[in-house]
Amino acid sequence: MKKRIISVFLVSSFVCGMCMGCGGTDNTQETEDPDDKPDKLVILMSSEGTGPMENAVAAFEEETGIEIELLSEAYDNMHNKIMTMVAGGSQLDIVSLDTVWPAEFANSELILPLDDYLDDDFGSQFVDIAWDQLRYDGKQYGIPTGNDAKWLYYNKEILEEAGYSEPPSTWDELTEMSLDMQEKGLVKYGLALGASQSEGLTCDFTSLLYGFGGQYRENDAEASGEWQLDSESAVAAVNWLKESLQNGVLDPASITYTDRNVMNTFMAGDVAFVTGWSSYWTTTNSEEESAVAGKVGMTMLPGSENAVSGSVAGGGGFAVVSTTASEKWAVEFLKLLCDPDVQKDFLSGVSQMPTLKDLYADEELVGEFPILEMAYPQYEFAHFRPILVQYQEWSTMVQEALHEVMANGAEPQDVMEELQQKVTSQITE
Amino acid sequence: MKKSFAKKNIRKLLLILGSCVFLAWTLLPLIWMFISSISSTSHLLDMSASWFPDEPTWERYKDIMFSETILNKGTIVSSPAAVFKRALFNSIIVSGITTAVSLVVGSMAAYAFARLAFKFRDQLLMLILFFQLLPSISLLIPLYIMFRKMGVIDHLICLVLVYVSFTLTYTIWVMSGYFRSISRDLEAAAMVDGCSRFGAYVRVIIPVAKPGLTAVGILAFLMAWDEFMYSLIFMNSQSNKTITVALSEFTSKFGIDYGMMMAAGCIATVIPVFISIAFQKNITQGLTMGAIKE
Amino acid sequence: MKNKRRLMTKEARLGIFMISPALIIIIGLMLYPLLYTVYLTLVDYNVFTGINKGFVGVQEYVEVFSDPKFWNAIKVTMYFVAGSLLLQTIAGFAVATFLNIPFRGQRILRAVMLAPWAVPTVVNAQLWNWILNASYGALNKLLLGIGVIEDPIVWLGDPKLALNVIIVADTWKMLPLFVVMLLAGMSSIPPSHYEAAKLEGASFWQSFCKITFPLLKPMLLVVLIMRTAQAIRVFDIVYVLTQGGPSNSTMTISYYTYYQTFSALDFGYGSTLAMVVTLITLGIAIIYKKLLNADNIY
Repeated sequence: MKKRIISVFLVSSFVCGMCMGCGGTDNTQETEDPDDKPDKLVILMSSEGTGPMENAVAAFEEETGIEIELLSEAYDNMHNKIMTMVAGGSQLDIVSLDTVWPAEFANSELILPLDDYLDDDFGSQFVDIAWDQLRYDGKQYGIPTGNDAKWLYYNKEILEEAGYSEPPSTWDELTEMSLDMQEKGLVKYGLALGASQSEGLTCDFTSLLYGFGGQYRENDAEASGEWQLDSESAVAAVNWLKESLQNGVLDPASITYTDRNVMNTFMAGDVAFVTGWSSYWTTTNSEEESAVAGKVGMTMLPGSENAVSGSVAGGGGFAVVSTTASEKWAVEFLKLLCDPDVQKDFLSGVSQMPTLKDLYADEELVGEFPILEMAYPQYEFAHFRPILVQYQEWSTMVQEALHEVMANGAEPQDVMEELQQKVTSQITE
Repeated sequence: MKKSFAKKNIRKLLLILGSCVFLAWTLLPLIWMFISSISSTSHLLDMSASWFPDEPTWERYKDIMFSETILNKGTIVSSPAAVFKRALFNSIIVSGITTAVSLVVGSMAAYAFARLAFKFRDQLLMLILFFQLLPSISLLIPLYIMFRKMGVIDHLICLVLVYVSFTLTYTIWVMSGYFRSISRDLEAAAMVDGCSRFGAYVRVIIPVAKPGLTAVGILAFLMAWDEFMYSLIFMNSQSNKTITVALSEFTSKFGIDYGMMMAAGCIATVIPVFISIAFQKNITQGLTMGAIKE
Repeated sequence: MKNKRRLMTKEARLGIFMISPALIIIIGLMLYPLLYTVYLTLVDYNVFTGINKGFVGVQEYVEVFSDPKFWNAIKVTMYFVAGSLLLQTIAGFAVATFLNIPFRGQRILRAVMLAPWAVPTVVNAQLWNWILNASYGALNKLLLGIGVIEDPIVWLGDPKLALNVIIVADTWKMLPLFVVMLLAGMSSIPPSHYEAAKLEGASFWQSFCKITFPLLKPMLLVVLIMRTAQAIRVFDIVYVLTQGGPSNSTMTISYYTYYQTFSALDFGYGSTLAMVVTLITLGIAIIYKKLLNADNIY
């Protein structure tokens, strides 16, 4: 009896569901003139930046009389919050845009291209990688406000004790130095990576791949052409990972670290090297948090005989949501975020690296924030992760393949060949 | 006589041993949580350091309790610590109301399911079970649309509604089982004394079922206390966030503020424990003789 | 006969009156969302733009069942559910029986026992992440300190170990739920039952099997169903501790569903997975009922 009730219930709910298929949608587009001033713009951003953002908001409100409602969530929750708010039909005009979201968001028509509102040379004021990574399909989907890449952080004190005055410039050199320092009993391991099965691993792999002279696709600059995941350089990069685990250069716990908590291992002084984002500079040098404060060096990630260095681009910016009723004014607000003073606020407030080229040449600013000078050279060698609608799927395949090697000890050559096949057949862009 | 004395001692020893193992299992992680909340990160990272910090820092607790909360059009733009203080207040309100409503409404329904005969009784109970099994993520968007149309998004009331609908199910399930174990003679006696059926339920059954109600109350309170996904999606302004969401904000794009998270975690743990101690009497309170079906 | 029927109508009226507030809340808040979700699984619909590409029928379901990752996730989830529930049921009975014996300090122990359950899930996950960390974690520090191990253990780095470690961390938090519910159940067992058993010379173990366990079956069933539903949805602790790794060894179904719904922006597929999860839970609930032979309970 009970079973029958359940099945009847299920069937009837299926039927109802089908009937609802004809129902309309909640996302009715406003047909007002886009130039009309709205009463209010709603912005959703990740929590750490709200402080500096306040100034920009105040300036905008005063200038235009448009009220700004600033919503904030933890960075990890942004993606979900954006999607449910838009899908649920709430007013949302401007959202944070992470580096790897533009393709995915643009393809689901969640955000709008901004080209109509921007001058042709608007992009030239930004550091190239910052601007270009928010492009998709030939259109600009976001205004970059934060620039980032990965650098090599090293423990100066340990290096000096071991008799090295310079950080390594190739990955092989890093291996040599690490083994030497381990032998001398100065460190437990040479390098720690945030190599758990998550986005951080894809980032580190990108750095290694380009550092070993490889690239993701045949025509990398235009994000087209055959995949090159089983190239000699790609296999060499994975081989280096595997060997480093075997000879003890790489902390075996790396496969449990994310790109956020791997910093702790470095701050504990257990390893001489760590790869990290720009924010590591401030944290690892804080007396309160770090046992290695003041001993930290920051330099470009190593390369190989085939490449000077290879790094991965990060950062992000802001985009305009497609359901907004006031495109024009939303873009106006985004333009305000490109103001040098606003970017300085973000730099001093939350150590967010600016996207404007000029700021890196601003002597006064560089004097105050030496990280600008140390960071800049790496941008030239920073590369994008592939700009794909199916990015998450792609990234998961890469992470799975690398874990086959790092956790299960599979052969790099086989794994990368399989990955190449899988990506070629399943990523259909 | 001697033998039973030895036996008694062994029993005592076993009890003490059991308490020790159990206490260690329960307390060690909690103690570590507390240590984490009063140590500097560099101390925690040092494997050779003492377990307890030489100079405990209470800064984090001060931050949470005393940092200024700036209210600005419903948006608090201030540190996550300040948001947490506000969230604590919100969570107590939401969890408290949820618990009260689901106890009153739920135990009433549970009594009906346990004692009264009406059409479709068993089927309705199964239906309630089925709803309970739905993963919350799958109801998220439709509920969001519903609440937006009702205009209650960003109001604590919509959290209370959702939490009640979840906790009710368990309240009904647990309590209807509990009511069944209570002797029917009890309400019969009350009704002979002139009580109506409903009156008997309120005056006689409820007091007897206190241990069950307390357990279910704790369950409902903690389910609401710990819920994250709905709170994240339905609440927008800083001033309406609940603790789980506020806690997640100690994780930023750049790293995890582990110390703050543990300090806030300690506070978030202590409050329900104190509340339950206040009600603890009810769990241990033995049932009056004859109250139970034999 | 006639008389009795009239009596029942009055009773039924009271019954309907007493359940209606609960029913209104539950059905009002869940029926529409449920229908909407089922609908999403059957059409190709962009929730952002509202463009509906029409009915795709059971295509999404076929896709789910032919997805090898889905099956891996099911395998991992079932291991997690079985492992953590088995551990928690046994430990739950042990602790509840223990805390049911009157002794000095019993009340304090009962209050303390509750604390792990009150630790918010997000905090619990970060707490264990730090405890289990290989290079500076408290567990390795403790074990190295008392000399049980010589080298730090990478608790979460071994595909064979990681899931078991997550089960332990989950058990630490959720064990109090079992204990509280079982204790409440025990409080409704009349002491005279035990006294009678004692007179007949039954051992402690015998009276547990003959009295405690059978009378706790209804409560156990509810707790098991509740915890199964929760365990199948385990998410935060996986997200913080292992992100589904190493090598997918902790990729549970809810982590996978979440990832499909949000990260891969595929609401239809995500909803389909959610429906499948619901049906699996329902299946397990029915199995419990059979196993506990509790057909007469509800």
